[in-house]
Amino acid sequence: MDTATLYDFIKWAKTTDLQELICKRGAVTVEFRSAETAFNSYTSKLTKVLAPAIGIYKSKSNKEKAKLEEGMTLKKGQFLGVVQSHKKTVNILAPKAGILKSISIKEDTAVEYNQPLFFID
Amino acid sequence: MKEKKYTKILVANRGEIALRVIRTLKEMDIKTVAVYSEEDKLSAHVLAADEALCIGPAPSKESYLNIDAIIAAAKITKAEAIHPGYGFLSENADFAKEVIAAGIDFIGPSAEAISTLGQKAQARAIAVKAGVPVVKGSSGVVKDNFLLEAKKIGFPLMIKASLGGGGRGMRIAQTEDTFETALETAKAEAKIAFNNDDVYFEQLLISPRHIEVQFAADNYGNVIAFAERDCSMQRKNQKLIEESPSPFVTPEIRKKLIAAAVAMVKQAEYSGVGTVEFLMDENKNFYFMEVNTRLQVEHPVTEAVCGGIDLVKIQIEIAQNKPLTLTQAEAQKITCHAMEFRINAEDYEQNFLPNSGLVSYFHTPDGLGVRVDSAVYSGYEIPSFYDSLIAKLIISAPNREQVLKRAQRALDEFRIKGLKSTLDFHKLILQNKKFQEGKINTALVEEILNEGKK
Repeated sequence: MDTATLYDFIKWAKTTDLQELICKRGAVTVEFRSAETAFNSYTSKLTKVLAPAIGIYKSKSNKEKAKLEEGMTLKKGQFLGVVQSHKKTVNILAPKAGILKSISIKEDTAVEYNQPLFFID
Repeated sequence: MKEKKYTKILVANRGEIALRVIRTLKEMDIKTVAVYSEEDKLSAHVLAADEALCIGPAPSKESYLNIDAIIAAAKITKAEAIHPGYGFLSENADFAKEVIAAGIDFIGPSAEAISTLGQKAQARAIAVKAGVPVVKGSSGVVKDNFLLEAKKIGFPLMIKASLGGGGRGMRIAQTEDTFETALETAKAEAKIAFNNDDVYFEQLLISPRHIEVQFAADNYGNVIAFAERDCSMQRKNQKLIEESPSPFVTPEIRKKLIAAAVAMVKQAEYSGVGTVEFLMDENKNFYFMEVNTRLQVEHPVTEAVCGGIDLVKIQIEIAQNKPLTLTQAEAQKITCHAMEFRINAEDYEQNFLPNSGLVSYFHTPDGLGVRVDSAVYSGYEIPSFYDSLIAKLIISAPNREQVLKRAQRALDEFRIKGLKSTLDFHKLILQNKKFQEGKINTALVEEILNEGKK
């Protein structure tokens, strides 16, 4: 790129909310990141499944039982277990279909509201 | 009854009162558990506690009022007792009942006492039984013959919802002509707010003083009551300044107030700390209004006047089945004059519109006779979900005159940047001659506001 073109490009870039621009020559990659995606890129791209309540995590309710293994394929809405509060029991369901990348909760352990329990890719 | 010693207590509240309770627990070598909503991750009470658990999203209903989540948090952390603070679930009999049923102690009176005293008509009946003066009114809930009952009491008349609070379901009928409309409005409002349209009638006192007596009752039938607090400086039933002793109450009246409060507490078979509220007319006649079955916002005023006692510690000791160690003579001793100023994140020039957002700078006053109870710090963001109290400034000095001087000095030192607060309104009140002379009543705040508009 010659300097005049680069100058024009920088001038244009200043009018956008671009924070990052990645160019690769081999097999041609062009990646743009705006303010929002640049921030998000620091966190995981995986979908977090958060605890819907404070309580104890259990992989089964009186109706269903979740057999979970890292690497397995999940359907959207698949049963992942429950959080048992004092008297209420809240189901945990997969928010999307995908690969269960990580299980970060053990059976019968306490979870806080909004604590990440699973990660789905 | 066996005395016990708690090792861990969960504080089911937020803001300055959660911090206030945590401080005492630390001094008593009791481990502390804070609970918080997602919005309160960086709140001072969360940072101060030994453990903290997120119990739900920002709206109170799903977090600080979520009984299931709070009890779950207590069970997870193996807390032996729950301190409810004030507001939120502190006067919720169902909460107290659920906590006890879960095998956890509730730091406060029994669920039965909360429930009975929370129903105004029932509380009034207890007062009558105890020989405590009540405002002329109906004997309990009025079910029929409304106008006849009203005429027996006379106008102006106050119509109150039996389950009422905070001014809801409350209407004034100035004359017989407006009675029917006022009654219908009060009943409709009560139905919506409390799902119960029971009402009772009371004679209306014009510009009375609000005088209240703090008490403590142990599990062995011992009751002590403290020198009164005057909370007449209020706007729309919201207290702004509280002081003790009242500039209006004489030693003879004080004795009567204390005796009335003790009689009321004994009649109600109450244990724990609480407050009996009275209205006082210009002839110093006082009448029972209600019992608050919790620690109150203004409790530090009494702590100062009674020589630095700790009411939260007394509360916890009572729950641990310890007998009271303070005698009545010690409790009613007046060691200084004290005043509390509630600093709210409100714009008093915009009809006390609540403010929220970033507090860019927060500097509290200091020095002799100055106490600040607050959970705010520089850089803290005040959420819009909860009440607007951001700090309590408590001033004490040997006499009222010195309290006023010291308050002026402390309010001048106080710096809150980033949002509007009631600091300036308090400075305005301090300039008011009637206030300076102690000629206060429940209409004075409105009067000062109207003067400012002229």
